[in-house]
Amino acid sequence: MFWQQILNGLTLGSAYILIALGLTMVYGILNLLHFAHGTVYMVGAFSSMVAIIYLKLPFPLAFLLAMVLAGLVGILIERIAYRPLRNAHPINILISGIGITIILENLFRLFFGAQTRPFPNVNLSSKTYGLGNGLSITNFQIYILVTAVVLVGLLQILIKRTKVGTALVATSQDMKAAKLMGIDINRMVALTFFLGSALAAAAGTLVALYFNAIYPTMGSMPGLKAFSVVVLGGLGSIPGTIIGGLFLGVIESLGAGYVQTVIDANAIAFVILILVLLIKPTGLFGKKIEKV
Amino acid sequence: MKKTIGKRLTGIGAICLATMLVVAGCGASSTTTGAAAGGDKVVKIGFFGPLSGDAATDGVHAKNGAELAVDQINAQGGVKGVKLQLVAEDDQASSKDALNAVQKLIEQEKVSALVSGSYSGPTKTVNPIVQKSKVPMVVSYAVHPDITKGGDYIYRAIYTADVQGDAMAEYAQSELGLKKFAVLSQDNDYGVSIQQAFTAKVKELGGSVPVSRSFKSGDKDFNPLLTAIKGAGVDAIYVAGYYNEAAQICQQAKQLGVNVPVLGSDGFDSPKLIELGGASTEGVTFTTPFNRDEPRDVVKNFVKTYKEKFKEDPDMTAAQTYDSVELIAQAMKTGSDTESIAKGLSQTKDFEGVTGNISFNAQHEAVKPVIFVKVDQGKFVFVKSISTK
Amino acid sequence: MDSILNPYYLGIVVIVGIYVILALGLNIVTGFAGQVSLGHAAFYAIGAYTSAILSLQGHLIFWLALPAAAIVTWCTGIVLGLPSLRVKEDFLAIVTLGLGLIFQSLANNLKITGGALGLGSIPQPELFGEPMSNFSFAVMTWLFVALAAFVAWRALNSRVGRAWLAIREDELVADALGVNTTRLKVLAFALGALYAGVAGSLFAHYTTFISADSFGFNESATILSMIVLGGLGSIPGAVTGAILLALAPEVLRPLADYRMLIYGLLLVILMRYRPQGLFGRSKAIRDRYAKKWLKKGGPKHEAAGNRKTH
Repeated sequence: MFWQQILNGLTLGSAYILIALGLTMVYGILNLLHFAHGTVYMVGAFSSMVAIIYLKLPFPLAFLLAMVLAGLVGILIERIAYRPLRNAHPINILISGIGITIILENLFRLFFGAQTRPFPNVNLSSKTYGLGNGLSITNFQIYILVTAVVLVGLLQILIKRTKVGTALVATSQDMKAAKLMGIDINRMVALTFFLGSALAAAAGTLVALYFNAIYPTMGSMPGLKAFSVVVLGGLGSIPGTIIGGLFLGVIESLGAGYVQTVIDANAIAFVILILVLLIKPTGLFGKKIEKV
Repeated sequence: MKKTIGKRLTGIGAICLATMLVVAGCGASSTTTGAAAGGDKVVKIGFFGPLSGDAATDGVHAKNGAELAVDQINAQGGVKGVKLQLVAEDDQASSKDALNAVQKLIEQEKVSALVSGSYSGPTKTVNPIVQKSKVPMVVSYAVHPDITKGGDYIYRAIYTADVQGDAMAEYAQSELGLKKFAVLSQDNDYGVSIQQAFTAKVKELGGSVPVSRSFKSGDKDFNPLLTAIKGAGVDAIYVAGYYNEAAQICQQAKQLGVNVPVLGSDGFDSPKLIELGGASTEGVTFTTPFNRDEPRDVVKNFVKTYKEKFKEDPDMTAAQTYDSVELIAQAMKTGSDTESIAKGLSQTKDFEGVTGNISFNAQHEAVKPVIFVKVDQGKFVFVKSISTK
Repeated sequence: MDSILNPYYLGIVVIVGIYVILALGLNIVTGFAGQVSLGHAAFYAIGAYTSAILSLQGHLIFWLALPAAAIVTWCTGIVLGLPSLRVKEDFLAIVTLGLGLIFQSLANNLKITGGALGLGSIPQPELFGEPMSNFSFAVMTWLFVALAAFVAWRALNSRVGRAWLAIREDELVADALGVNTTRLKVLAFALGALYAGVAGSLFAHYTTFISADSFGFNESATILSMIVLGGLGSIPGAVTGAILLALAPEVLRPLADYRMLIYGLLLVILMRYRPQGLFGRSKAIRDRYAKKWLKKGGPKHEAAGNRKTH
């Protein structure tokens, strides 16, 4: 059963990675904690649902549309809640993000109700494949793992091989210098929010499909845990985030599977986070961070 | 400096706007239903439950049930000419808000009786106030053991946790011949108390519970727990929890290839179980106070009128709250003041509600049949009903 | 009927008072010393549970349970303030958020806290052998509020308070000027925790039932919003912010589902147009103050005195 728990953990971890990448990128470029990121994950899941039910789109198209829509929502959040506060105190930015979270969750609750809805029927039934030794994997798990690999790969190509990517990296390394080089900072920031939010939406949709459940507060816990992933991986580092996500997913899975702990699986993430921060304040794979 | 002042004014303007919204909201008060027409004597019944927030589904269904009961009683001319008026307050499933809501209902609205359409925490919190104010209260579906204690004014229309835990343990062992159980329970008073009762009874009857784990409300990933269960090789999984998590457990058990029967508690009783769990809920058996298909007239009438009024099928919380109001109305036959209602409730015997024939015992707990329901071809099907002491 | 002495209104007065104490406490940590905390509800919970357990199992009367809860939270405040020495700002926010979740989770799973069943039948405080009415409870709560505000005010206008402000404005500079930042940051956490402990004890004995649900992240976020609304670092601000936001759910009762939406909008609008809150001084004014103060010789003098007295 050990390997089954590992496999479950890797699936969970892949979803965490997709959510956490957005946070990492935003932190990398603006040095701000994007508190409303978890709700974007929720927006993504709802967008897919609406696209399938009302626009009658096939699942892959709905999935892409949800990524685009959530990306635009991400840009909007930045414009409304963060850009006017760019030089403000971090607490103000944090509260602004919390405010956006409350607004979005309640808007969706008013429109769709608080109760959990099933994912619309997309002719994708769950199939289980035995891998021998009692080990099994479902097609939904495969989708999550494959999508995570593909999206992370595309992101790497975008960052390393394209002009836009180079501009993005330049901006996150030194915003002032990038500006002097003629890079439009606001466009880079918008692009970052778009990419991060689209990845979160992908995770939201796949997890909603996997668990057959969509509800307005679905993003809050994954959002908070993504913070823990990001800090674990060393803020702003993409490879760190990937390892941090997998690490957390596996630990949570093993923790919930083997020990009846005095704390919930949800809190395990934070126990690890605090231990890591107290021992190595820069995260597991972090570079030196000025602030700490 | 000019700019700062402008900014400041905008800020103050925004705050004023918000304050105005607040004040505008003050005009209206709590939602009231039922006749308040002149001439008739009107008795107010207070209701509290989570009408907004994450638990709103249960609270709104409970309120619907109470509303339907009040409407029907008034349509028949009330209780001996006395009409009922329902005053509903929102507690957002929070103890603090429930305390405020109930004090408002008692002190300001001067209600003659209360109905709790809320969870255990809030209901437990208001206990001392209710007992001290001597306002009779009927609890619809909260199961915390202490809720009815500390006085003679609180009655519970649902049986306590041990009744259904015991019933399922006996049924599973003697009728289904299952011996080895994995128990998954929600980590609140509801799940924990049912899990304890079930586990104790199973052991008493010679069975075993090798795996017992708890989960949190809102949990979605049960793979780690189910993987542990898969390794333990049990005959069945007993879930003391609600439909949202139950649907996940059924689904993920199937995906992981854990092909043992799933048994459950009355938290399963919602059409949502099948909607969310799909085909994986096929064969699930659970205990409940409410059987939609029962051929009795009161049940048929309730299901039909509820559907007409609210455009959906009633669930367990609606049925329980409907009965709670009916119980208060029947207790009013000897008088509609708080003392008479309390006395009337204490004498309740074999009252025919939609959730069976209800009596209150000396501990103010409902005695009524436990019903077993099974999911068969996407529908809840009646299995059997057993009476309890 | 609508008399002001109606127990319903008095009950609200008690709850509002409890929030004012919580806000005043967090205002010391975040407003004065500039240490962001998203886990203030953890101290609130520790105070409530300590007081409840002492009176249920230790049969301690309320008047002893409350100071005991205050001492326990003071000590936990010192321990949990230690991370603030390692991590800063955003990181500290996440760490305190995590601590809040961990404590809530512990309360929900440990035996001593009643686990998921919570703790019930917590005795109501007695005064002259009689259980306190809502009226006397409200009066007592607001006496605590007055005391809490007075202590906060005295602290702010002492050497310690000025050193806190220096840490908030620029920790490196404060450190360089000889402020003992380590001790002062931990002191702020301990004092803020003590306030929360008193509030928790009052809450436990007022509601007579506590469970982990009452001390979640939402509670921490609400308390933080209160002091931000009032203006970080301002005592009248913390009081006003707490009163406004604690009353909001009661006043907005008829708006039911819209109340949280309005609350969220309020936060975003406020941060955008009046980030310094209702009572906060704008940054320009604060900077002038700081400059004036630094010109006078900065915290050196105070910090030196500080060491002597401690």
